[in-house]
Amino acid sequence: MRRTVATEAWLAEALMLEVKGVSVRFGDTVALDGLDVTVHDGEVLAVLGPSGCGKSTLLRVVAGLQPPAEGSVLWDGRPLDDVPPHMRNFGLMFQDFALFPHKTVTGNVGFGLRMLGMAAPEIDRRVAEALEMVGLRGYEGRSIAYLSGGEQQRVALARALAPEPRLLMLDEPLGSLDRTLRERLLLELRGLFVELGITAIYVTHDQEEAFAICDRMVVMRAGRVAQIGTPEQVWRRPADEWVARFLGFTNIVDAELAGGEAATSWARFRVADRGEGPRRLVLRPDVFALEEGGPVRGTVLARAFRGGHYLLRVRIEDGPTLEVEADRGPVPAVGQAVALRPDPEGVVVLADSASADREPEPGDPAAAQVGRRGAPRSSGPDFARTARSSDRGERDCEDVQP
Amino acid sequence: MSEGRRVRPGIVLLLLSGVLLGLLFLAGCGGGEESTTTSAPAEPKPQELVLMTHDSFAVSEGVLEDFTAETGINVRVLQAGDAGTMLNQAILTKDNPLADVLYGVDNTFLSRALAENLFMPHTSPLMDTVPVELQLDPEYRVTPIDYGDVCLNYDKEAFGASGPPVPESLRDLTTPAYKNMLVVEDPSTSSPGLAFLLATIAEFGEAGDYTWQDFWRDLNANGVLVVSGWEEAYYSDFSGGSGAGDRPLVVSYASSPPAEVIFSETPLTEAPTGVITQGAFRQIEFAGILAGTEYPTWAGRLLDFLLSTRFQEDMPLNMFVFPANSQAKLPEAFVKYTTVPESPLTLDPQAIDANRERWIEEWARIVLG
Amino acid sequence: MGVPTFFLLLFFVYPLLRILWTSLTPGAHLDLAPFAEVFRRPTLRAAAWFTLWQAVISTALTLLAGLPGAYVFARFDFPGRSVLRAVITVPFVLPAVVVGSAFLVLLGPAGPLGVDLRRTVWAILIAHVFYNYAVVLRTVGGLWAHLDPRLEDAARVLGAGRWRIFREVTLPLLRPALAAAASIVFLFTFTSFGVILILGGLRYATLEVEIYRQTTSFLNLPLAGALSVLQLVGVSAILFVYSRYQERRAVEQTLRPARETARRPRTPGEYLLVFGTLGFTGLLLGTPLFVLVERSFRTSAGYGLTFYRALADTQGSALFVPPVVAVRNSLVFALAAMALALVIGLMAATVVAYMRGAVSRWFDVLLMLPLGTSAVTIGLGFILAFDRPIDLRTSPVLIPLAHALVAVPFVVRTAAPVMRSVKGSLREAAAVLGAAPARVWREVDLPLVTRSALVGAGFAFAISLGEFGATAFIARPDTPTLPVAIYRLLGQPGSLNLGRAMAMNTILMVTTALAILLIERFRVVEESEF
Repeated sequence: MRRTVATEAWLAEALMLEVKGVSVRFGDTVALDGLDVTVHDGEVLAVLGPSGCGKSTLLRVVAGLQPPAEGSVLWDGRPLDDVPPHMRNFGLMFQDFALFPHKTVTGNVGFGLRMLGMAAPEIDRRVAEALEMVGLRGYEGRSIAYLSGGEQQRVALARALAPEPRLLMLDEPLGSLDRTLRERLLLELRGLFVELGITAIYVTHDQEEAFAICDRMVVMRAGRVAQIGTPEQVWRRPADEWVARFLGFTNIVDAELAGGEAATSWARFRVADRGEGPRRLVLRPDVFALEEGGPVRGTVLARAFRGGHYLLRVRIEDGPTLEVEADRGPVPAVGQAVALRPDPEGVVVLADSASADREPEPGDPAAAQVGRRGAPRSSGPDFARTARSSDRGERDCEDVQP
Repeated sequence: MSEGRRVRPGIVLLLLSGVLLGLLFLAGCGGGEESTTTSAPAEPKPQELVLMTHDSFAVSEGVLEDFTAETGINVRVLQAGDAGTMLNQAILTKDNPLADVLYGVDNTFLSRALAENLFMPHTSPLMDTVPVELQLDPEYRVTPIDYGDVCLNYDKEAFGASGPPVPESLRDLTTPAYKNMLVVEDPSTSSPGLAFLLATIAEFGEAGDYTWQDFWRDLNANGVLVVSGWEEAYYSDFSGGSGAGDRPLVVSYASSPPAEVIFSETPLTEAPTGVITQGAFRQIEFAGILAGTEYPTWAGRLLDFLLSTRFQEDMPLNMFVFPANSQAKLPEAFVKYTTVPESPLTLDPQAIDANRERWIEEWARIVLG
Repeated sequence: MGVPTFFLLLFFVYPLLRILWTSLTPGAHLDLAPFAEVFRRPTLRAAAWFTLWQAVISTALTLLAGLPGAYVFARFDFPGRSVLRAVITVPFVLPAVVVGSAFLVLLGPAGPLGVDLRRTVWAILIAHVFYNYAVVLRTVGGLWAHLDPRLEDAARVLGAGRWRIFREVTLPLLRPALAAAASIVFLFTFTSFGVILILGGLRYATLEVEIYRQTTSFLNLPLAGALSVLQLVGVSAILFVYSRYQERRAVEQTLRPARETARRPRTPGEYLLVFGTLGFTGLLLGTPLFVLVERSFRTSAGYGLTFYRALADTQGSALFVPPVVAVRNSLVFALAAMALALVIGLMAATVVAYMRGAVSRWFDVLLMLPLGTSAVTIGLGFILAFDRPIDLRTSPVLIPLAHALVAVPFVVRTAAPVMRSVKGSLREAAAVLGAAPARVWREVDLPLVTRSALVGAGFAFAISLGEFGATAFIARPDTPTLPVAIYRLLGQPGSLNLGRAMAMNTILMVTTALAILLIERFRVVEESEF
């Protein structure tokens, strides 16, 4: 958990939501384990983690639907412990949308307004506005049962937005949608958040979504915070091997650091880190440059076109198989020998071996889960997009930095 | 349609339940009226007297009003289920009775009712008009009001010229000529059924060379049909009159033929059914002042009224029973269409009470084979 | 939980304990001899055994007979569907003595079956199916109509045949409703009385019949009390098992609007299914109903309205009222009973659906118990219990209360399965959007269960319309209901009495069908039919 000075300074402003030491247990299962999270005025916080890490539980605690076993939730400095869900004025968009099947689109979107005791004409006006915002004008009288998944998602969003909640929470809002729709809605959502200056928590298991939507993100693991930071920070410097793997980085190797150089059993290359001794390194696919005489040598096993670049699987002589991004110059063919040079600035040096004890062991369920499901799937095509999305996130973050 | 104008079901339901609870309390208060009348020195005069009776009770409009005109007291009739249920209720509530006068306990239940000390004695000035054989309680804790004879009814079409002769005695029923012709009621669930069983016990006795058990064994062998209630026996299995069945003999009442004429869909000059006076069992119904009443004197007046010709002459056509008051004139139909058994069978109420359960159990064993 | 518990404690548990205590303490101290008596007498042991097995078989047969109907009425749209659905509820209200007379004709040697089934166990079983068919059709059909047909489609795509789909998808999803229907039918048949007496004859007696006999014919309250306790223990044990089972099986599911799942039959096979089922229903329910209606028009001079006209002539008796008055009395009691049953039942259903654990299970058992308790026992309990502080013993208010007691389980059993199926996230969404808990219930649970609750309300109404025992027990004679009027007419011989009783019965049938139709037309939620 490392924070830069820059973010600390920004965080000092307008702290709205504080989740302090919250624990939730279901029987023997620990859903949240002394969790600390904060959200600031106008900030979009993404909560990223594999399924079962406690992301949704966090939202339920903040919404007041799940009383924490320990810890408390504060809003604007005041504890919310005794405030029931319906008095919190938070919006929550459920993973399954939870639209009222017996009500029309208007009935759903206007529900929160009605609870505020608003007059009928005012409700109608605000519902129309909210529907306009999500591009569903003219759907007022429709029955929920006849809407498509995308339309339902928009209604759910409009319903959560309409009462203008102090905090909007979205639980995997795009989970069930197809890729094209998801990407379009992601952009629309981001635009909407910026335009309305909404304070929001966005829960997802998809790092691409998280990078694209947020100002700051929390990576969660087994009910605890694994890393907090801007999307760029998290992407560039995963806090530990688990985060790195969760983000899809599979090139993780052991090395001995000495005098700005990393020595592995199969190569020696320069790193920016000045540490000494045994370390584990994360070599993101984009840190490699194809270069005659580069220190890392191997043979191309496979090659896949990924739109903006090629992804190579390179078998290192006497070493591991690494994923390498090739987006400049001629792309080597399968079977061809290549030489690679890692960018010293791009190499991520994880905590030293002494603290590596805390890294996930093969027997660790969370690690096993990530290893089995998360990493291999997202190691492919998502990389490119992750890189691009993070560029956006980075820019957004820089906008608000002093 | 805007959401703001919706019916709010929760509120409607709340209102409804509120109204209901309100009603409950109002009714509760209303029920207590009789005990809140201003008291006179000797015995207060109630605004209302409650007459507890069974579900066969019926009376013409205007009759009970005559009692009101006479005394200024309203009569509220409380029908408390069948005779057995009514008696149970009276026994369970004897410390705080539901009514002032109970009418409808018959000689099969009399002994039990007296043993429970339900009634207080009252000698009606009209008792002289009641035949002595109806006066079963020498202490006059109960007053006979009416009687009816449970007897065999026969389908006139099935007998006589075209068929076998009408059976003359109970014993005849066991002969092959009447095989599969009789339907009777279960004495454990039906009042005429019990009366008929008692008739056979009175007729044949428990000892001797032909006991009532022997009779029922023979009857059973001769194809008697036992059903649970009078309605089924008469309407579903009896072939005579309004019955739709195939058995020409049924256990019913001596008053059934007049009822057939009076309640005929088309005018009749003759009853379609007849009665067999042999082997009839007389049911006598009594009334008594419930011991816990606050108004024994006025309750006595009501009891006297039940024995008056005004009520007694109205009874036959409403409940199809015969008046206990011998001065009461019988309706023409009762004279014309039926025969009153001259020497009906009876049993001592105490013997009935002591043996009823055993008799019925023995009977059931015989009939079930 | 407070209101329904209070209601049950005051109007069920308290009177029941009073009468049982009184019955079992004849000499001012507890006498357990009657219990020994129960086990000693072979007739009583036989009654207990018969009660159990006939109830089990009746329940199984009713489920079996009712399932195709439930499916057809839930999934197919055909002309006259809602009218037919209302008519199917009619048997439920008919007096046993009237139904018995129709069955004695139909099951006699001259009936359509050609065999004499009178006074056999078959007659009892058939009559039980006749009476309770509607319970299965409405309870199971109610949930079936809301099941997502896409689940079945999904199974079909996965290669499952029709039978497999039914067994592995539909049946498990229907389980809450099936269990609810089964429990109600079981209790009804377990405490069956009139049908047993009339169609079973001497040979068959349930505990209910024995309790009645001991109470009214032998005035043997101790033995009746012991039998009542036995009946209660048996019913409670079965209900407890049921309740545990129910809880384990509870699944949330996405319910679809009923309108969306029903369609016209398309293939010849579907037409065959629809017509076959309707034909069977017609045979089972229609024939006896037809016999009864036919009789009310059959006069010595061909068909005519003689008996209906004769109803206007009240024979000068203060206690015989014109049919209009009897209809009005019946409707007033039935409306009050229904309102009460709905309020209490919905509250209770909420408790049952929301809560888990032992308390909820016992509560559930307690709710159902009035259905499984001897009517005469509880009736006498009322007489004992409500004498002070205010004397309610002879108050007509007790009638809707007694009816509601029996009707509440119907509302609970029809509403609770649907309420259990409502996704928790819907309630949470409403809460987050600013609805307080009561408002959540009103905005989410209530509209979603309205349909099913209305089915329950219809049953509540029907129970009250057709109920005779409690009404005869405490009714004021000058306010007879339709069944009371029918019994009074049947109490004396004469073709006019029989004919008028049949005419009154037809009026009862029509009133019932119309009332059920109206109740189900009622819409709490205007905007979107669910």
